Amino acid sequence: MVQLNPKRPMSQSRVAAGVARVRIAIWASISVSLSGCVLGGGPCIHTYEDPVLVIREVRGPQGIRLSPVTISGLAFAGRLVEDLAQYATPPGFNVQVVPEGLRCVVACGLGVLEGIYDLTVVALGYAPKVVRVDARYRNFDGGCPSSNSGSTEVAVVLQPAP
Amino acid sequence: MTLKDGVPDADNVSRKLAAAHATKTRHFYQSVIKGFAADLSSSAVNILRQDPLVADVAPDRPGYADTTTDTNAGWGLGRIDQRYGPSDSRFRFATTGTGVHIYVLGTGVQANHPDFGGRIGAGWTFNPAHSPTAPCNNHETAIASIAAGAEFGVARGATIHPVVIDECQWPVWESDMVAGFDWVRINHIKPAIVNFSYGLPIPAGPFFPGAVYNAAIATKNAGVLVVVSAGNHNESACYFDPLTGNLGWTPANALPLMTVAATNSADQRAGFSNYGACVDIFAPGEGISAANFTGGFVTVSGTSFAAPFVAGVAALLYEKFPQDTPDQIHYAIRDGGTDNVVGNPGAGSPNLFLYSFLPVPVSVTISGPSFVGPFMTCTWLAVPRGGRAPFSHHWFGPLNGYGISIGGSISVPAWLNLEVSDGLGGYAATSKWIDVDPNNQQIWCS
Repeated sequence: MVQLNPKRPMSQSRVAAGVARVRIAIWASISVSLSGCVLGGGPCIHTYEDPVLVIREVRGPQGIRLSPVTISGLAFAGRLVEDLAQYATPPGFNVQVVPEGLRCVVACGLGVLEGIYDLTVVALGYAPKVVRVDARYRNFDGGCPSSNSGSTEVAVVLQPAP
Repeated sequence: MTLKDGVPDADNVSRKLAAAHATKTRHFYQSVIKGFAADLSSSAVNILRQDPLVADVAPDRPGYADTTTDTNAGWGLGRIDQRYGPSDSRFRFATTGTGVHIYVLGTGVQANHPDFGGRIGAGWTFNPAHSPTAPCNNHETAIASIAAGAEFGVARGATIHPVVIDECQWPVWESDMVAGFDWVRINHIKPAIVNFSYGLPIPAGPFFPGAVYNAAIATKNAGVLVVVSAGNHNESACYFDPLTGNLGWTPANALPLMTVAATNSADQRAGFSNYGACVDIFAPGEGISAANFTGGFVTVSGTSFAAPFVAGVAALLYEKFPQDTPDQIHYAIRDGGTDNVVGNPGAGSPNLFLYSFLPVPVSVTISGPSFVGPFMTCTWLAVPRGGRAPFSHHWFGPLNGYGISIGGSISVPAWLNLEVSDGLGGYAATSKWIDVDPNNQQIWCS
């Protein structure tokens, strides 16, 4: 994602030289006292600093780390995802579109929409495992601009194929 | 619903069936067929299909005249020409906004991007060192491409005017925002639209409502439609409340402006999007494809990018009706929006989602009492939605007249009927059952 207009504290801003700027400064001081953070005006762009869902680790029953794995049958909000390419772009990481679905080099991250994800984790020699995750961001920094950060992380254990 | 041939008093039968089963009647047909068009529940459809007088009950279908289809559009473009999701990622359009001028306030627009095809008009900058066509970030290039880009945009023939108010440093100064509005108010070419995807917290006390609020209103009052983003704080955009910490955002809080909140591809309000009664409509704003100022395209999110969908649809409308006022375009967009498809719209928000094929055909409802005392003079009002002025009204039944409202006494239960025709040649009809309690000696009208 392209990072636009990184926030800077008011104290680093240029010298105020007009009524409007004085207004903003006064408002900012009120706002700081109310909310403890610095506020101001800006573009209403929203950035995702992290993917909403991170597969932190995949292990076999003896604790063997498995990577890469394949994610198949990815569904969001009960609906099968058709455009998998959007999950293979930042802030997603270590994810690649393959014919079977998504190839995940663990740890991998995907998605930005908060909600219920259903997916099947597949690794050679192991039984596929269906996973349901309610993926939410831990942090929301609201305003104009705004951002989300802090992924929901999951660990998956696979059993050997029968 | 179509009646069988030869049904006696077909018009009356149609009206009774519609009144009994329809949640909203759109048309009564008297000549080419005998029947009506209406919103029906599935159970009502089943009942009507078993009625011995009914020949057929068929679903309505959209018709597209002289449209072009982009079969490789992003989800956002694909969603706004559909009433219901999910998006088919196909964008159909009948006009392109040719002759319409969209003023994009922000960091400038990359004029060389092929998405704009040279459709960049005169712009302005508050800083001579910062050309309107040499942007310092992607914000307005993406916005312009959503509103009017040839590949990513809604109005693919509109002219874009970049107006620099932002030097890619935070915060953006209110005084610079006002200067941008000031330039547009003086220099705009009609029909004109401003896209303003910025927000400030609502100023407190004596500084209310704020200079940018006043500047945006003054620009609108000069005949420019001003489209603004609702802001990204996941709170009401509409008011400041120190008790709850709700900041409120301006100029999103300005009722005369067109305030746009954001949805995601699942038709949910985007988690960051502001909401509230000052919001006019929702549009796609999460994971939107748009032109990148360094070339190619990017995926962007924010209410910043919901607003230009509305600006683009406004341009499509202005091409058809270039003499319209901002209020006419504003209410045509609201009238044409799709009801009740946005999940979790937020307290006070209208549950209304942008629809691009405008204006929609006229429909009408009757506002007024449905239960009256026998001696009371009551008034009923025609409430049209969609279509286009001038409207003509024909009331008939127990009361007869031709105004937007009708008053009088109804002494026995009856259907009050209304037909409306509009300036586009459209027609709509509705009926309201008026009940009367003859034993009630009180004079009342409820």
